[in-house]
Amino acid sequence: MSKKPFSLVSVLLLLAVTVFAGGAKEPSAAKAAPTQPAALAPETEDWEAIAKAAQAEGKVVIYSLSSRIFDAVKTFNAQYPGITVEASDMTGPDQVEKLTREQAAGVYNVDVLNIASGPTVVNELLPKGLLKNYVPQVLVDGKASKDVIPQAFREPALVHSLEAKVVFYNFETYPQPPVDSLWDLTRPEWMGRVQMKDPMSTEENMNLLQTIVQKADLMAAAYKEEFGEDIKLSPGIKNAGYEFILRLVRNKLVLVTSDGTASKAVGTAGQKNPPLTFAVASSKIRDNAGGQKLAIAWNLKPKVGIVKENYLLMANKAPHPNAARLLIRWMLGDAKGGAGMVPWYVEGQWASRSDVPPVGSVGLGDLGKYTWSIDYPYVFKEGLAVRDFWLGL
Amino acid sequence: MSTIVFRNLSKGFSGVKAVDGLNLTIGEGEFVTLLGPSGCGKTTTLRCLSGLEDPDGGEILVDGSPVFSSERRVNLPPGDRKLGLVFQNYALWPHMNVGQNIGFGLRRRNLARGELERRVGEILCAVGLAGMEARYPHELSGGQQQRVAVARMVVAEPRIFLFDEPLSNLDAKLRMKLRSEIKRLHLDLRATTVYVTHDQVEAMALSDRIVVMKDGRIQQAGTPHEVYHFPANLFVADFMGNPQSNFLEAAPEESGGRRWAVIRGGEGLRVPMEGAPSLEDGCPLVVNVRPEDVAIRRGDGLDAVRFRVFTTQPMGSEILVHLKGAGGRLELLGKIPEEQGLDLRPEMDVSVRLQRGNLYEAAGGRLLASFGS
Amino acid sequence: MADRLVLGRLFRRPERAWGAGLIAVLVVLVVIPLAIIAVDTFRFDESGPRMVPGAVPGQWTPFYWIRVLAGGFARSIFYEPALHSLLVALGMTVVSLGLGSILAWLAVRSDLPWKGFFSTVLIIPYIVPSWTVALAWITVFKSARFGGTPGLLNYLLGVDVPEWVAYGPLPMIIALGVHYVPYTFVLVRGVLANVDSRLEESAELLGAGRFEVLRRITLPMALPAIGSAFILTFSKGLGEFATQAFLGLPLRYYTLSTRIYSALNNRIFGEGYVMTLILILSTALMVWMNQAMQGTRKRFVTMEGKGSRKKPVALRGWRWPVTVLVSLFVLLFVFLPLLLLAWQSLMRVDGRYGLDNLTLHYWFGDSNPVLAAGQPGIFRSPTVWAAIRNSLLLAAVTAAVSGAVGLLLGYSVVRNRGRPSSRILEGLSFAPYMIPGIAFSGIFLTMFARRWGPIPSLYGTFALLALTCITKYLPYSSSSGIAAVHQIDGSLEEVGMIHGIGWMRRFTGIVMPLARSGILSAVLLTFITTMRALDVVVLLVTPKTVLMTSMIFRYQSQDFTQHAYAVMLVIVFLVLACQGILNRLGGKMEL
Repeated sequence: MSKKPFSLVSVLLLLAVTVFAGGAKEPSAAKAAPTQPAALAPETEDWEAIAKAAQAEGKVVIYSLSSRIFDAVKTFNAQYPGITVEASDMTGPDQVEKLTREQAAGVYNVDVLNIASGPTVVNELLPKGLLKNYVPQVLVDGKASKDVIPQAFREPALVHSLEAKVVFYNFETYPQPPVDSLWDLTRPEWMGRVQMKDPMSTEENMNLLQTIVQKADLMAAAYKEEFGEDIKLSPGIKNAGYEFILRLVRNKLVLVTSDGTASKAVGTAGQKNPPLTFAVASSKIRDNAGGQKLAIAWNLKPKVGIVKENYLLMANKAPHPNAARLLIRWMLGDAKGGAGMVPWYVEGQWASRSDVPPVGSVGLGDLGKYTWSIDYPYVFKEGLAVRDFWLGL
Repeated sequence: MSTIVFRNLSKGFSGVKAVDGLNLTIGEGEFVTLLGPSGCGKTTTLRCLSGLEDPDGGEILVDGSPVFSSERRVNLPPGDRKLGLVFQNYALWPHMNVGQNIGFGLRRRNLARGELERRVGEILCAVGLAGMEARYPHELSGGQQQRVAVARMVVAEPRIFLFDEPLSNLDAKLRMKLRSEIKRLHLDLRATTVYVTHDQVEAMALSDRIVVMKDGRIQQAGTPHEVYHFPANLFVADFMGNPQSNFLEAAPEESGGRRWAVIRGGEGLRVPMEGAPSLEDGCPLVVNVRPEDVAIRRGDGLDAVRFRVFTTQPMGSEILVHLKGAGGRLELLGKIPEEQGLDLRPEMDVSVRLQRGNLYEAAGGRLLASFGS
Repeated sequence: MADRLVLGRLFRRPERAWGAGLIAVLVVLVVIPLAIIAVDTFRFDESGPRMVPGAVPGQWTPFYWIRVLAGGFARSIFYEPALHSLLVALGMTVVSLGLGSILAWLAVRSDLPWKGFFSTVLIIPYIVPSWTVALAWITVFKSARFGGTPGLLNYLLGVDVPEWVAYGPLPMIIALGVHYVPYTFVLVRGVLANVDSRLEESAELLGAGRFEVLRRITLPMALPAIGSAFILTFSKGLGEFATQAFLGLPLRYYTLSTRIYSALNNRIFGEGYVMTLILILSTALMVWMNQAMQGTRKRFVTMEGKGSRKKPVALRGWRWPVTVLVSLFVLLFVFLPLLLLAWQSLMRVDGRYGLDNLTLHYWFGDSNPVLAAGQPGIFRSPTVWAAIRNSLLLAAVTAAVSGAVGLLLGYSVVRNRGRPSSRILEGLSFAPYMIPGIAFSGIFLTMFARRWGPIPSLYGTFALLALTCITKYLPYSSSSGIAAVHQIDGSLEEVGMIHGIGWMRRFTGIVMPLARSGILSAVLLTFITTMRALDVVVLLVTPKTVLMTSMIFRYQSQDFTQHAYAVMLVIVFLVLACQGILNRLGGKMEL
């Protein structure tokens, strides 16, 4: 009789173990210590050796913020058939969360991160060693990386591609851009007709607001240019940047959950009164291939928005370092925007290689004219004040 | 006070006839009990009378006018029939106090302010619960709750009082007490009362007439005396037995110019059969004799027959005697007063006489004749 | 000698050992995490240094409490969302209780036709995810201004409804109210069935009319139980997340649950946990109030006698209008949303609702770069299949384990009645009910995404999901278990004990078969609840442990509406199918 209760205990324990064991399959990390290269930005690399080692590893795991990663995976597989790519598309914050927790728990699962979230990457993840910056010495088509990728895009983190956060308008209804200044978005005729992805859930959009606050002087100057008089700040408002945000919200800014919703609202054909978007990724313009009528209002004063860098970084203690290196090099593409870069070689998105001609009229060098880049230290330290301000609106 | 007439009342549930063609007349001021085992249709009849059930067919007349009639398409709602009903579980509203419970029925009469309270107070005195208006049902004992239920019924001055097994939830002592009070209530108010119970002692104690029912039909309607001493059939005879009656198989016989019913296996034990219709020879009969009508003597001395004492069970003022016949096939139950002092013991030989009883057809159970005083 | 006695007693009554074990487990799973969370609200987390210069993570501070309750932004961080939560919860309780009560009365007491059909069909809103009506609402009422493409109403009639009709508290209240109608329906139906009909008959005999009986007898008697239903529904409404996320955002109408999600998702844990604690405390308060009410209830519940064959109230002239209204309700709020979702999932291009725009692409199509950024149809996506597998597995495991533990727990509580351990266990088993799903998600994430000695981190594992769901839904199974064992008279087992039958055989041979129906109901309910759960798992899923509900959430936020709705319909189908199967096996949907 004494055995019986314990048999039930063991049944339950067994059940618990199977459940846990099912989970234990998850850390697919290879237990064997990987062979780390001596330096991550090596002067010379033996790609044949790397390719062979990669084939031996047989697998690479990448998290990407873009769902187009799956198309890149297809081309990679065609090139390197022996290596399985496990790709997942996750938002930046999700990637950060996952990486942080896994590494803290001693679980090394992922090899490559394709992530924006600049402030977090540069100020937190890289310094803490959770991510490592790897720049392949030679690219797919044999060119040396330091020749074709500007230093700013190699350090402190390797940039894969860039997008701008822009204002879209519908070119079918408006053959010319209907606005020429950011402040136009606060005018009564655009009340309720400006859409934006919620900054609370999108880091870059919050970064844009933070940058606007940082560049308050430029905003004040643009105001004077547009309205012919000095700006009068509302009570309790510190500068023109905050004032802009306040007026934008008071003008019934519409918040949506995705860039796709906003761009569809603008770009759908046959509208009499289409709205504008604010801070929507410029690469959305590729939807024009499906019948949308999107155009970017580049000439807004002072700037149309910010530029967003999408990085390619190696995870700390990546289980398949050689395959990772192969994948990173592949995704940087060739001088024609080909091979691994193809899915992102669209209008509104720019490869970090300076020898790749842009799709469309605006080149990589022009971006600085139209957009601000994000000041990471500023955003990291002062940004929460802007977030709180936004919360209070 | 009112008269009630049931004409061909029928009511079925899912194909089973709970009440089957019931015909009954109840006179003014009469206390009639519907008595029978569970499922005999007594409660259904009561509920049909009260309007809580809709009969399938027939008529119910109160004071000559129909409250229900299937031909004339009459079906008065319960509230219009002016009847009162006390339930087995008292059905007091727990969210109202005693005063509100009792006063509920009077609300619609637009009485003057103080009049309602006065009447409530009066009736509470009458049932022995003076001053308890503010108490809540859950604060009262079972007996008190039942009194409140009765008060609630009476104060509304209905034409007819209905009781649905009101005492079944109470313990024996309380039951006796309340039974007496209900009887007194009837004597004082002389209201036409229909009472439902499965307890034959209760029925006999309270009623002017008892209506014994089985399977939706009336088996016998008569005074307690009639029903007890002259049950119309075997079922009634069995049901009314207290504790248990003797049922003996017998067969008719002619002897000495008279007809007899001879008890089978009784070695000559027999009773006279007079006034019975003619029967075939050998037609099986049943003789019903109540235990108290069995005379017992030690040794020989009575009519017949040797019986042997099986057990004696003293019950205070009486002794229940269980007898077995010599052949072992016959059993008799007798009840003798204690002071007879027979000092019977098991295995003693006794002789018996069946002094009084009834004769029934074995098949069908019809009453054929009675014998004895 | 004394030890042997004690041990012997323990073996003969292993439910005492069980009780202690279960208490220990629940303390670890529920009490300790709560304590840790509470403590953590007084310490800086990693976001601390960015918010307060010079702060050190781990340092003691009242900062988060002040920030949430008294700081400059407290109004928008906490008070406004809290008010919104209360408003929505109140509105939805009134709607669902009102409708549920009416429908229950009609079902129990009137001669409404087609009762069986209505009863079956009215369960559906509770089975499908709570945001079904929300999504359908958006489909109908969205305008080009919100949601990009015009909704059905705009398409058919060319009109735009005002924004407070399309989004915000009004549709939230309607959507959640409808979702909980089956819940209140079953609760009130049970209450009405327990009101002794003889109480109403007594009133009828004394001349009260139909409405008077309802008003003065039935309703007051049912009131304590209805009050209890009110509290239960209200506390559920406080914890709701998904509907408020979908319908609140475009108007920036935040509630506590969406605020908590936002804080935890952005890794500002201190803030998130303060709000979580407040939410938990409010729910606990409600539950405590409910328990206090039980005392009054007991007086009002009467024994069922044999006289409960009650004549149904004839609706007479009202009969057909009422039937039409009920049918309309069923059509509009049960079938129409599903129909709309199905239609939308078949639309090639958003905003065009004509027949010419229909396609099966989003269900079965291969990847097409022009449509939905190349996402293939759901049945061609390995992720979706993985999600389906995971969801089913999670629901099955949770239901099974939960059911088993619930029965054991019920056995321990009932057989040890009177001893303090029984009360403690019963109280603990109910505790997860008081913690809103979204908070549960966050708490378990914090607790188990780190090593505890020999126990590895469970982050990203299926085990973590299972553990969270099992614990969160334990109250259903344990209350079923308690009720089921309660029904089994102790004497049935005592006979077995006298015959020398060991505990195991008694449990499997006597207790389990007799408790079968009750446990199956709990299993069914847990299965369905897990299948459609979002708030409990939203913070825990990772690409490897993707679930159908999290996929819908993601698709929706990426504006892949057709995909989202298609997966939603798969959930609905699976859940209905499972209910059918389990019904055959004897479980009934007891809410």
